[in-house]
Order: sequence, then C-alpha cells, then structure tokens
Amino acid sequence: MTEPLLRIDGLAVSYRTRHGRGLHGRRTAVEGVSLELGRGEVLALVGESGSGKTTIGQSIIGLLPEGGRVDAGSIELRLAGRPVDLAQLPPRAVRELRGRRIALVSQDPGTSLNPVQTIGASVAAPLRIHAGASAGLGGRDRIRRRVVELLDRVGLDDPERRAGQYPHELSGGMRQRALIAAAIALEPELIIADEPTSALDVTVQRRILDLLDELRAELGSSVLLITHDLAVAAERADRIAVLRGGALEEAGATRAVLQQPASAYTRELLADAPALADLAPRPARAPAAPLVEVAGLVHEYGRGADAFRAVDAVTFGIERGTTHALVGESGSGKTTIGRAVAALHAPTAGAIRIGGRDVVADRRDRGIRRLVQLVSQNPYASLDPRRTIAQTIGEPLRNWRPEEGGLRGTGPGGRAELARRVATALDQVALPADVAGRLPRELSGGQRQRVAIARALIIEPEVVVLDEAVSALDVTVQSQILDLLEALQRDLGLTYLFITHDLAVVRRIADTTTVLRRGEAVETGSAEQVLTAPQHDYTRALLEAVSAPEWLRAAQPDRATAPGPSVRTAQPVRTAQPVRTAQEVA
Amino acid sequence: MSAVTSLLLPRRDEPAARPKPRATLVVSIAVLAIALAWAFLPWLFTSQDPLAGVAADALQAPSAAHPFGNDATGRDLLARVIFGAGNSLSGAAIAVLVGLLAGTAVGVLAGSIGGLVEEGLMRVVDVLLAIPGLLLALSVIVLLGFGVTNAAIAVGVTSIAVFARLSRSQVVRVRRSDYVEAAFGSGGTFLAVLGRHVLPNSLGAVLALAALQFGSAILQISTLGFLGYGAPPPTPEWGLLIAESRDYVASAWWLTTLPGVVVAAVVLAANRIAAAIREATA
Repeated sequence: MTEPLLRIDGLAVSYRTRHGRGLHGRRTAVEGVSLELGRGEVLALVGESGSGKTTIGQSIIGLLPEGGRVDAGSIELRLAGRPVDLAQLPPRAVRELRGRRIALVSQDPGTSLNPVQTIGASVAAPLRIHAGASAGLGGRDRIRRRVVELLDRVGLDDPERRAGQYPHELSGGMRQRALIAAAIALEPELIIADEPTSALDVTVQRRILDLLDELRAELGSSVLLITHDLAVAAERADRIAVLRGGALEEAGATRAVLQQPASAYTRELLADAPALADLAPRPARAPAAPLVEVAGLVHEYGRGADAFRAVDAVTFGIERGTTHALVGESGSGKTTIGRAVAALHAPTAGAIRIGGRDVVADRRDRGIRRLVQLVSQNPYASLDPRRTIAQTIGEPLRNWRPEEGGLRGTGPGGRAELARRVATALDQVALPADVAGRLPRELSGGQRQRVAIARALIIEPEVVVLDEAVSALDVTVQSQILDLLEALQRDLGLTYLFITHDLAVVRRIADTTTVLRRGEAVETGSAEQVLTAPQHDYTRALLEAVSAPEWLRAAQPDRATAPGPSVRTAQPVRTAQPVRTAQEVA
Repeated sequence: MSAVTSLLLPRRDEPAARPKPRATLVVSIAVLAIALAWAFLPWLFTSQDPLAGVAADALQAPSAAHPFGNDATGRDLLARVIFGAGNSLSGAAIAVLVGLLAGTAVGVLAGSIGGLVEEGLMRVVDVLLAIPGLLLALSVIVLLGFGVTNAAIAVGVTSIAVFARLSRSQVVRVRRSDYVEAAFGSGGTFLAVLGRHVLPNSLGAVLALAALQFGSAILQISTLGFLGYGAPPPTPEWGLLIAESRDYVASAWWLTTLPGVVVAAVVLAANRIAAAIREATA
C-alpha cells in the first residue's frame, strides 16, 4: 500500500471575529477534519457555503485570509517519500512549495488574473518565481516558449497571440484555461481546484473539467476538487468528502458514499440537487389565452453600425398561473427580455402585453408596477443595507394610496396596518416574525431572497419576473425557495417568468420554456417536450452538459420520500406549511 | 456618543495582538473639544482681556502669568488665541456648511437626474475646479465685501466643486444598485427613492470630506485673514494674529509660532477625525 500524497489529520481552523463591544473572539470554521488524498487521485470536497470546504483548501496552500489560523491538526504532504507538515512550516517554506508542488485553480477567472498583465505574463509568473529552483528554466526565451507550450496544452487556440492578450480580451472559459496553464506550469503534485467551473456557462464547464482530468492523468498529479455540485463530484472524483458546518459528515469512495449515504445530510443534499431531480409533474392544463404576450421582441444596445442586437425577434406567451422559463447561457439576452417584461426598459422593437395592457407604452406609468414585479438574482445587492426588513418589505405599500392597494398617507393609523401586512408577508414567505427588526446583513442568502420575494408580492402583482432568483443560493436553500415559489403560485395564482441558466431548475418549476442562444429563441414549447425531446442541437448540448451519471440518478431518493423539513437545519424551514391563501392576504 | 465610541474601537481587520494607535484619535478629539470650548466659553479659560493691553507688558516672552507671552501693545496672546477661536471656528463651520450644502445639492441633483442636467452641472463644477482656490475666494470676497462671515462664505464656495464631485460619484454608485432599482420597481417616486435609499447610502463619504474640509477651511480663513480680507483688527482671529505679528518674527518668536501651533494642532486633529469617519463608514 502506497502512502497517500496528502494526509490531513484533525484539522481545526478558526477566524477572528468581533463581538458587539469590540472584543475579539474566534469563530471555528473547520473542526476535526481528517482526510487522505492518494497520488493521482481526485478527492471532491462537497458542501454548502459556510461548510469550510474552501477554508480547508486555503489552509493546505497556506493562504488563509487575514484573521484565519490553523488551531490544531496536521497537514502532511509527502514529498520525495518524506512527510512534511504544512501546518508547522514557516511561511517562507510554504511559499517555496506553492506553485511548485501545490497549485491553486481558483473560482472566479474574472478576478483571478491581473487585468494589466498579459496572459503570457500571468502564466509565466510561477516559472519566473521558481526559476532558480527548477533547473533549466533560466532564460527569457525558454520561459516564453514554455508559456506558449502551456497555453497550447490547455487548448487555447493560437497560443502565441493569446500570450500577448489581456484578460478582458478573453472569454470566461478561456481565462479559466489560462489559470489552469499557470497552475500546471511547474507540474505540481497537488492541484487544488476551488469551484473551478462555478462561474462558467454549463457547456464550458464540461470542457474545463475534461481538461483538468486529462492533465491529471498526464502529470500524475492529485486533485482536490472543491465543489458544491454533487453531479460534478460524482462524475469526476474517485473519493468524496461531505462537509457541513466545518465538520466532516462522511467520506469514502464516491459511488459508495452516494449510493449508500450513511449520513442524513448527504441524503438531503442528494434529494435537493436539482440536476438529478426527475421532471416535476406539473399539472396538465387546458390551453387558455395567454396573460403575458411577447411578440417580435428586439433589443439593441448602442446605435447605428455598432449596435449590438442582444435580443432578436423573440416571441412567447405565458398562460395565467403558469411558469415560463427563459433558458440560456450568459449573453443570450434572457435578462434583457425579463427587464423589458418587468417594464424596466423599453425594447427597440416588438410588443409586450400583460392582460391586454401595453407594457412598452405604459412603462413610465407607475401603475404598471402593481401588475408586474421583478425579483433579481443577487439577494445581497437587492436589499438596502441600512433599512430593516420590515421597512424594506413595507416600502411598496408606502408608495401607493389606500385606493390603489397601499397605505400611503394613512398616517399613524396606517402604521399598525402596515406592521400587520408586513407580518403577514413574512409569514407568507415562511420567515419568522422576529426578522422584521433586523438588517439584511443579519440574514442568510436564502432568507434575504425570501425578503425580496415578500417585497415583490406585497402589492399583489399578477406577474413576477424571477431573474436567476435562485442561482446564488446553495442547493438545499435553492430547493426550499423553489418549493416556496410553487406554493405561492398555487395559492395566489401567480404567473412567473423564470429566467435561469440552469436546465435542472427548469425541470423543477417550468410549464413552458424558451431556449435562447445569442438573443434568438432556438426552441420553445412545453418544458417536458423541450427537455425530453429537444429539437435543436443547442438544447441537446445544454442538456448533455447538466446530465448526471446514470448510477447517481438511480441513487437519488425520490423527492416525495426524501427527508422532510425536520432534518433540513440550514435554516428554519417552514415551506411545507400551508401558505396563506389570496383571500386571507387581501 | 455611541458614534464616538465606535470610532474609538479598533478596526475589524487589525490583528488583535498589535492594535493601531487609537491614542492619536483620542488626542485629536480632545484637541478639537478644547478648541470648541474656547469658541463657546472663552472667559472660562482666561481672565485676561483680549483687546485691552498693558503697555508695560509689551512684547513679554511667555511666562507663568502669560503662557503665550504678550504682543506689541501688551495684550495677553493666550487670551487673544482663546477669544479668536470663536471667529476662526465659526468661520470654518460656515465655510464647510456652504460647501457641504451647495456642493451636495449640485452633486446629488447631477447624479440622480443624469442626462443633460448632469452634463451641465458637472461642467460648471469642472470650471470651478480649474480656478485656483485662493483666487476664487478672493474674487468672491471682492464681490461680497470684507469681513469674517464673507471670508467664510468665500472659502465655502471654493469647496463646492469638491463636494459636488464626491457626492455625485457616491449617488451614481448607489443609483446603479439593485435595491434602488427594486425601489423604483415597487412604484417608488423619484423623491421617495432619493430620500429613502440614495441619500442615506451615499452621504457617509461626504461627511468624512466635511470633517477634512473643516481643517483646510481654518487654514484658508487664516490665509484670508493674514492677507487682510477677513476680520478687521483688533478682532482676535487666528490668521490675523499671525499676520499682525510678522514684524516681530525675529524679536518675539512666540507671537507667530504659538498661534501657528494652535492652528496646526486643530487642523491635524480635524484630519485625523476625518480619516476615522472614513474608515468607519467605508
């Protein structure tokens, strides 16, 4: 039996925090985690945000953020047969290993490359830094040749030219390839890939993961793959470690863990992973006249010859009480369409009607806001950091007079009514009443998104545009929000325009769908038809990109029999409770 | 009070083992508090008359009886510095207020309305920025006439452009945020959104600039006083005190040096506090 390359034993990491009155405390981020990673192996660390998976990666490479500290345990890396404890090494010595023996591929290729340095210079950095240590890499020409070779190896076309380009001239996928080239420059024994594809489009994700696999095989490196995506872990990892709240839930061979999960939490993750969920049986309905009609929508940015056509003649309709999903990768124009439907900007051409009302012509009329509301992607940006949750949720009511359904100008008498309506709205989105007095920063991402939904619903719109409303959330929270949205739709008869890049989410929530590619609708129809019998190559490519291995799909518990709310402790969950009916709310 | 305590607390990202010297901030607040006390209650700090001198004491060096010494007409210099605080600090306050109100109004209007209004206002601001501050202040004084208040207003006018630029940039930043869009999206009117979201979230940096400008306004008013455009003699005012004593630099150093040290201390204190406000609101 060969010794593992990396052995983590009883690792504990904490961060300094500040409690109210300026006293310093420490918050434990990782506690008692033990892991092993063999040579040439892929170990996936999976868990939700806050589970400590990134912290473990950072402690290995010695790059914990300020205030972070390894409190206990050892991180043994076996170099040339001798174990070295990275946790005990002085920073200088760890720096020597970084890049040479351990490399990091980080999450966001948009910010990980220096914008004023050429790609070539960024890739050459590790070569130059360790030039003395690695013999034969002295001269400038040699470095340049090696950089071009590396860029070629990671599949960038025309590597000579790419080396001279700046990050903003490359797409996200190309930047991630460049980052990988920098990481493998010195053929490290260990590659830490921290969510290497989370910021990329699905079709690009697959190619990047394939590339990592190839390189691992070629260099014989080990990969620590940090991901929130169970399907990615299932497909790529030899072994898997499930983390939760800084502690190890379970670890073992990937198949064994996922097919027979020992911990309830793993089962829950499996149940919530949307990529694996079967097509939700949406109730069949008789065709009716659409409530929302979008016809021949065109949107151009810029004027004249430079005009960029972001949306090109898109047409679809949404029946009352149903969900229409707009699916596409970044740049497909889906957000532009959503904002036009929400009357936030005017299209260049085309018509949008909601219940017979001309949204394009009336978009400056405040009244349109009571018809259609938008919930935006990022719950961290969509709430005013200085206003309490009650103020935020109650704000729409203060914009409208009582005869318009609001409480504007009702004076002190209206204040009690306002508080009551806010409490009802909080209850509707299953938030405890005591969050009313808190500020957004005291809430989790999922709770914030519930607040944003409550704010959109409090003036009782008929149509809600949900722009990537669950994309920034962990799978379990995502699943809860989707449940909530379904319940609200059922009880309030809402009509959703659901914008997403994630076909798995479409599968969960949509009745009908339109697949967009570079502004054009390539396919439109019922969700079931589009997802099970795609007509267009692009739809097929998208579907293939999110498919999970067959054995994993079989391993997934049925949603109906999945662990109920009792074990979902990421936050107090009450989505399973009946939501108030429209009559009670009004 | 809680705002002050929170300023005194160590910053979040400082290593606990090696706290940065917050002592400088404590000293700064103390310096400014003393200066303000001088401005409001000067008679508590000295029993001497700032205007009437004793001829026999003319040009006395600092002593226990007269810690700052006496000037050419035998007036107690400390008393003149203490009584001068009122004129200098109220002048600085007026100057900051003029710059803050006018500048922020211009900046917020430009940033929130946008379009041609923004273009027009900001080009005017560019012109203001292009004129040297002292020249602009002198031009305004020539228009308004001499005097402490007019000098203060003139100094305030020179800072309008800076306030306008900063507040516009802050407003533009906040206006692009998702929560402002959501507020408009929920039916908020322009003024409601401005008052609820845009102003509260953009004024932190502007307030820090106000504290910073307070320090430089004291200097500028002193400059105008020194040039003879501010308070007429024998009014005690810090800039004037230094200007009047120029003739005695060689023979009575304390007449220029000690008021100068006071001005420097107050300006430094205001700067330090401005930095702390900026950190706290960042």
